[in-house]
Amino acid sequence: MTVFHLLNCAILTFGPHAVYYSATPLILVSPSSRLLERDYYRKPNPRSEYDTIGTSVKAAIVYLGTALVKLICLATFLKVPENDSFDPYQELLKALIGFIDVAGLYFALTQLTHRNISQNHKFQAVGLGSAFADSILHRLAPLWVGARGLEFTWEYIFQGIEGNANLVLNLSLAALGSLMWLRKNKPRTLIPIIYACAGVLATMPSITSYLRTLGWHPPKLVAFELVSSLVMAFISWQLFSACEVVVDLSYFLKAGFCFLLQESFQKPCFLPSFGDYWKFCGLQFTHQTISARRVEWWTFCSFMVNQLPTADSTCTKSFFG
Amino acid sequence: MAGRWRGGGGGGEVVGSIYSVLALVLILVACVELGDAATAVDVYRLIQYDLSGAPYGSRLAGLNHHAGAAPFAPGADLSRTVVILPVRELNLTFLQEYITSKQPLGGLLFLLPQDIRHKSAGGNKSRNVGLLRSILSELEQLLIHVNLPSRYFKFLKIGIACEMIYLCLLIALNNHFCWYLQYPVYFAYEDDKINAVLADVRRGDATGQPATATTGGYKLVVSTPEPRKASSPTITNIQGWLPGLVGDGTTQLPTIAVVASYDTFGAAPALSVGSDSNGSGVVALLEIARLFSRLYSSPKTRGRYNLLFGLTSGGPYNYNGTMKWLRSFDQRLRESIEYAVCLNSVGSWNNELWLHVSKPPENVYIKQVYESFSEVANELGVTVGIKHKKINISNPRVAWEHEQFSRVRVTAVTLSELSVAPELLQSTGGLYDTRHIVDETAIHRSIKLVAESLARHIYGCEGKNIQIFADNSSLAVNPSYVKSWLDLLSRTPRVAPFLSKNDPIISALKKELSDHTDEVHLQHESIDGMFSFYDSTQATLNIYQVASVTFDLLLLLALGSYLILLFSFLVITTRGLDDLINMFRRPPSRKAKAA
Repeated sequence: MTVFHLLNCAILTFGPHAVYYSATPLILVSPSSRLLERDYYRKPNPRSEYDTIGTSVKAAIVYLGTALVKLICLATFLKVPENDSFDPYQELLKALIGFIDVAGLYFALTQLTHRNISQNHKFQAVGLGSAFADSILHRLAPLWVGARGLEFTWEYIFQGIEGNANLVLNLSLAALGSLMWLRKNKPRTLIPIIYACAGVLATMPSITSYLRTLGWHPPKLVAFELVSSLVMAFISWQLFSACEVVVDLSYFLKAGFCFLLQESFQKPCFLPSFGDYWKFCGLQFTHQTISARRVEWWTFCSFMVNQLPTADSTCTKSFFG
Repeated sequence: MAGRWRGGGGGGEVVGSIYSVLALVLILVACVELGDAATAVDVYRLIQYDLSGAPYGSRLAGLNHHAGAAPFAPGADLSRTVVILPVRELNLTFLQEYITSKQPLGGLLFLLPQDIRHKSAGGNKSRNVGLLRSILSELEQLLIHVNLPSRYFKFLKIGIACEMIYLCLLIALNNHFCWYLQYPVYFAYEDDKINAVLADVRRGDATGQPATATTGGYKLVVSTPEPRKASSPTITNIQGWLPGLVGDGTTQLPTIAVVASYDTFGAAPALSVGSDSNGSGVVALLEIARLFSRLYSSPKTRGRYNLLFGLTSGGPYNYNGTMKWLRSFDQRLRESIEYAVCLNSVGSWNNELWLHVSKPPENVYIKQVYESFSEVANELGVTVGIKHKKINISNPRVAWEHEQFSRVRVTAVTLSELSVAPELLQSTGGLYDTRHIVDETAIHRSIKLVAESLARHIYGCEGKNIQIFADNSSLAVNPSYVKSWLDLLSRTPRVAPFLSKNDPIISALKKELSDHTDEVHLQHESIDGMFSFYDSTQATLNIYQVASVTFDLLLLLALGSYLILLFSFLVITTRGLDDLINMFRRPPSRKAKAA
């Protein structure tokens, strides 16, 4: 059945966006979320108020604007190729025009007014919004026109998987973008890595289209896109959480309090070094995004572990070591 | 918190309009577009006609079923399958059984080999060629099927009452003698795409089960409107008159007529080009007209005979057109015709032609004509035999064109390569009758034979050793003229009911005759009420590769589980496992909380 196939491909293309929105805390901080009532045991973060949907919509509109600008630039600056040979100058120009996407993201992250959303949720909302706009613009029309026919092709399923990979890509790019432009204090060593990863992410579409002209088969191409986007997402996740070490003072103080709590039960022969303290903070903050509860649980576990009788007085060191 | 949901009452209208928009979207979505198919093939439909009310041929045109290929498991249900049968490997007995037992079928698609379309060079394929020819002619007869014994025809001419009895007889014997096909039948030429589809279908069928909606496969779709009766089909006769030299005195000059019928009839009307029957006759007539027009152009060489060239239509239908043409003559013209030569299939013979006559060969005039022909034949190195077939006035079946002349008392002969009279709707240009079976040199020889014997009779040089249309003279037979006209006729299907009054081929023939003759007339008539035809002869077949419903369901299942996994993964990584579990636990009541 052909409508069935259309439905399947639409679910594959747009489902993950909806799932992402509803699964992550974005929906908890959206204006008309019913869960706020039910979720009685979890206090909403007073800093992230009700603007994620607005942010996503605004990001989508910004993406639409950048798409139009890119179209105009492509039409103005590129020449129609006479033969199918690879022209490096043209490809370079196309890649440069791809950077307009990054400019749009910059605009969405920094210039749009967000009513007090935490950075965490901001980049997710912006990434989701622009990925959704991208899917709608590039994938909805072919789906509507083509997937309803009697003829069966794998094309639309591959397109849906590409849409998923694109979502992951957009989220990672938004994360790195927020790192680059919204966070003022980053560890010095990580800055070049962040910019390099952002550059790779921005040129990923050009790389994909280049591979397509090389003649890669669709399954191979889609697998490459998926794998590369997952890898880049993992790298940007690590970078993002590594940069979260330098975060608000409250977390800093909270971690300090837990540490002192722990250390007060220590044998007083050992004074914690500053390095240990930072390491402890770092380990705490990696798990910061999971839940506030985990910090207490982790502290409790480490406290209990430390109470175990050991010969070594520097039990903290061995625990972290 | 309760205040937040106060706006819900006004939202009822919004919800209603959302539902209507959703319904509209669903309706739009459900309009399935038959978009680009993997393969689109030109197909030609089997003819559909009624003979005195009795239906023949295939009665349906639209097709929308899955493809299947032989061999089938015995007792398989094929009512929703289109069977693809390549003609080369056709098992006629299976087909015949299937048709006569009137089992339901989704449709039939016959694949014709490409060699009958193009001229094949090698003669070493003659055994295959002969086999193919016999298969195709048998298939055609099976599908067209007029198998009524001819004795039933004798009622046709006697009043209406007997015709009613005749019809009742027909209906009563319908199941036994004549059959029609309640499913669409199409012909297509083999090419790579359709061969690939057939191989795929065979491979799929090897697992045992014919393809249906749940197992995927190929779907063949022909979307044409239902066939309608062609209203009052016309037949057009074209005649050209070349007057002779009127000498002193006002005596009416005698006339010699050269006649050929130009229309065809076959199993697939869009493929009935009839190169041999009777394209060769038409080409011969045109060339003879050209040669005589050169002879008659100057008064010094004009003969004392008028020449009448007739291209008649309605040949397959008992030479209906010829009869009407003859009836339109006035008395004087009819009496002035000394004799008529009818040409029928002169394109693929080797050494022997036949002269068919209805008067006994001992008749003076017949003897004269025969002797002039055999004299020239001897010079050309071929033989002309004579065959006598008596006319039965009460039998409406007219096997040769000259019989129509004989019925109005005009001496006529038919020159043909066929030695036996064909049955109704046989040898009228069928599937096999395409350009590749015609030999141009045979046509050249026929032209020379007829032209030479006519000219000798006209100029009175019988017995003298003069060759009028000698080779390498200005009156030689022009091979390129013959070739170009033969090629044109082999590209043009000419089934009379589907030719309109001003069809291009009719205009072309008229123009050509008017170049060679002085006066050209067109006569439009309608076919006798016995035959009625239905349109829709050609269509485009779309072949879609479809996935089965099980595939779609599996895909839906996979997607559902993927989304659920994604959801759980995201919840766990961003909110914690507890949140996931708590989502499915009902929150404890407020009373308990308040307490």
